[in-house]
Amino acid sequence: MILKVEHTTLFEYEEPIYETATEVRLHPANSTGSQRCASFNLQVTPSAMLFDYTDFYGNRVHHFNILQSHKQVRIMATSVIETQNHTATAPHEEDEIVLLDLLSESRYVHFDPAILALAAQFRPIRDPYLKAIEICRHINGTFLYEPGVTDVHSTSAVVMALGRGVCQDFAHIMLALCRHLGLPGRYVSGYLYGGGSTPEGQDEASHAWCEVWCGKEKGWTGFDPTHKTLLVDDRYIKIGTGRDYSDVPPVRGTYKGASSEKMSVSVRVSALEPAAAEAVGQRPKEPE
Amino acid sequence: MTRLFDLYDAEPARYFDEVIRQDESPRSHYDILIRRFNQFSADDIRTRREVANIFFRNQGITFTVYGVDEGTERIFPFDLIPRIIPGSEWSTIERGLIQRITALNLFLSDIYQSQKILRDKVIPAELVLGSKHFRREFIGVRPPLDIYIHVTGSDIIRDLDGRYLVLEDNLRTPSGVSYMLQNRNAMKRAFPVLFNRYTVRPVENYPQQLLRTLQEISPSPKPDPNVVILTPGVYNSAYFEHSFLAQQMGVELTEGRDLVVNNNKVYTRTTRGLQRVDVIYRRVDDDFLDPLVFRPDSVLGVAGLLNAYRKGNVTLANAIGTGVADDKVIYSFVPKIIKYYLGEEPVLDNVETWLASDPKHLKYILENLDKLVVKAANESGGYGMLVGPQSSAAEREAFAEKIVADPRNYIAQPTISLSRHPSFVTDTEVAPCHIDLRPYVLYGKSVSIVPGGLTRVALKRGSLVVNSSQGGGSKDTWVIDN
Repeated sequence: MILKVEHTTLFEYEEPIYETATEVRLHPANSTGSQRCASFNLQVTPSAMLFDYTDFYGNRVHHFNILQSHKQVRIMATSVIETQNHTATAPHEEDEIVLLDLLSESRYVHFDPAILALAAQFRPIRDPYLKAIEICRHINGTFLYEPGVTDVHSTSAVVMALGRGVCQDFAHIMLALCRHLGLPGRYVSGYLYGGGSTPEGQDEASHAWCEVWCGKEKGWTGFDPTHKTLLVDDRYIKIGTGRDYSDVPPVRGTYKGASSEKMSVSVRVSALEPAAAEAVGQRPKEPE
Repeated sequence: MTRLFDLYDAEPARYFDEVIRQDESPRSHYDILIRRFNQFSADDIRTRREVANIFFRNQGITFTVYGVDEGTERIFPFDLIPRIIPGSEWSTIERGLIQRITALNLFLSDIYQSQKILRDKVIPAELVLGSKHFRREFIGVRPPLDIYIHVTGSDIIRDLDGRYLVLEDNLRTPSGVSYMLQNRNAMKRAFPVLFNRYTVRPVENYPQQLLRTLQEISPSPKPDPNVVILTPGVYNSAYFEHSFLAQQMGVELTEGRDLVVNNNKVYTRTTRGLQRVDVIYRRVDDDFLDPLVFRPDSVLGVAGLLNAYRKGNVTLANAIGTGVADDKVIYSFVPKIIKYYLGEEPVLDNVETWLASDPKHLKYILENLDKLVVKAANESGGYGMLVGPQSSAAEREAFAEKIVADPRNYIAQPTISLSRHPSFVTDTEVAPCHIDLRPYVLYGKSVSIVPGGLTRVALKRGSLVVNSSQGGGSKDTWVIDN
């Protein structure tokens, strides 16, 4: 599919603030095998000089600062992505130390006693892929989707105790279970076309899921514990990956000044015809 | 009249004494010192102590103790009897430290780039990945000259046989160098004659050497790069040192709020507008440097600083993530690190160390808690440790629980009876006290060490803990030509 994402984040302040410093992780991943980013455009008002780098996880990070006082900051990211259902063919390669690093706890992914107890029932499943999909199915079937009971800083332990949460929380639970059972797992920040982050497919289209290393044969495989379909397909657009949410927040920033902050986000994901994608100006080259 | 050293009981059979040999005779390099001190009356000593105290007070030399309620600013106790290290012994220490710091820098450069030492399984990768101070986010970010540890201070002790051993490396923001400098100043004032009887190698040019090191790592070659010190502020235990070094080097002392990042470059705010900063000698821990990257609640840092660093627009001394190499678990691998990168045998040995993360070692540790010193892997300043022989059964039991709950985070070492040195335990009484040594190593275009360092002394009778935060003091350290 060819999908267009318009992602706007607006920060508003009652009183003028100054010296904002902001990092955004909004550039869709490129050339992952199942996805190509055809174009990306980032606009910031008040205007600021944009800088970027590729972080340790391979994510494209943009950052900027605004010294003078202002009462709002608007960040608009527009991208066009071509997605495919199939992934590259085996064998898949991944660095052994990267895999080892993705087996441990991280800021939001904890091996608390509830995780250890729950993990026991999946231990007998030998095949990594089957193990991961059973874990995914279990979370989807037993955890209740309910916005507002958790926040972006809720750890997997908190979510386990609540039994409820949103897509980010379910991804953290799945990562805790997989890593504890020896399956390297990473958090994915992205979008879902036509679905959004809720099981019913309403709400904004920002989404989170996870990828599990299923051996050289299958490689990194996407699992979505929030949706009954469980597996990631061409409706999913990946921005980037990390150990958990804290490594790939879409927007993170600081400012100076005595004012509270109000953030509003709007995300629109729409399907484009190939011709329309061309009109955007950067249609991906056909494979030769 | 009883002379000062007449009553000195070194117990040389039980301890290594820096001054008195096994056969009870003084080591020759202390002859002059003993003769001189033996000439002093109690009043002479009091007068000279007053000279030293006035000097320290006038300089405002204090440090802050954490974890106590009452007035936390103290004068660092200073002992009047200097420690003397013969040049021949010093050259071994110097050679050992240059070797060690060179290897540790290669280790940091490796684990923040290709991680060969982990792939070759010389160190279990999970120990590095699991280190609290490992900063995986900065893999691939290369500092100028590939130098990570510009300013370090390794703690050196001597065992029963007088062997010099490295107890720990401090590769983040080691403090104490200002005491080294001030102790020397105080000694010269209080004991001018004695000082001149020895040929003591100078330490006074340390601030200039530090400044040169910092200038050498400037991101862009320019004749006069702008160097600043970044301090957490007046409540930090080492604030005196930060301001002292700034003044000695003639550079600006800044706090986070004095700096600002604009368009990926770092500036100080001055009355003439923003002024570009090239090198930051930061005495702020990684965690607090940049609220955008590490702790978002930090008010000590500068938002955007680490992106400017990543881009190479500013150099931080020390680099980000050096704490992984002074993790006490990684410490136990330093002899292997030296062999791996340099192909040499270590000049200075480590203290034998057991890792609680190794099941066999863990069993040994738990069975011998009353004999061992157990330390948390990432604490410093004498916090978070158990000194087995001086602990109660209840303390050992509580500590055993902590170790079992988090084995990666604990190591154990034999209780080493640190060497002892005559020190004033009362106004007029000299007794043997345990000491260690922290030399300061600078690493810019090359490695250099000022001769000597800070000798810390446990002034509480029988105490093995020399940390200033735990009731220790210090003495001047004289490296002399043989």
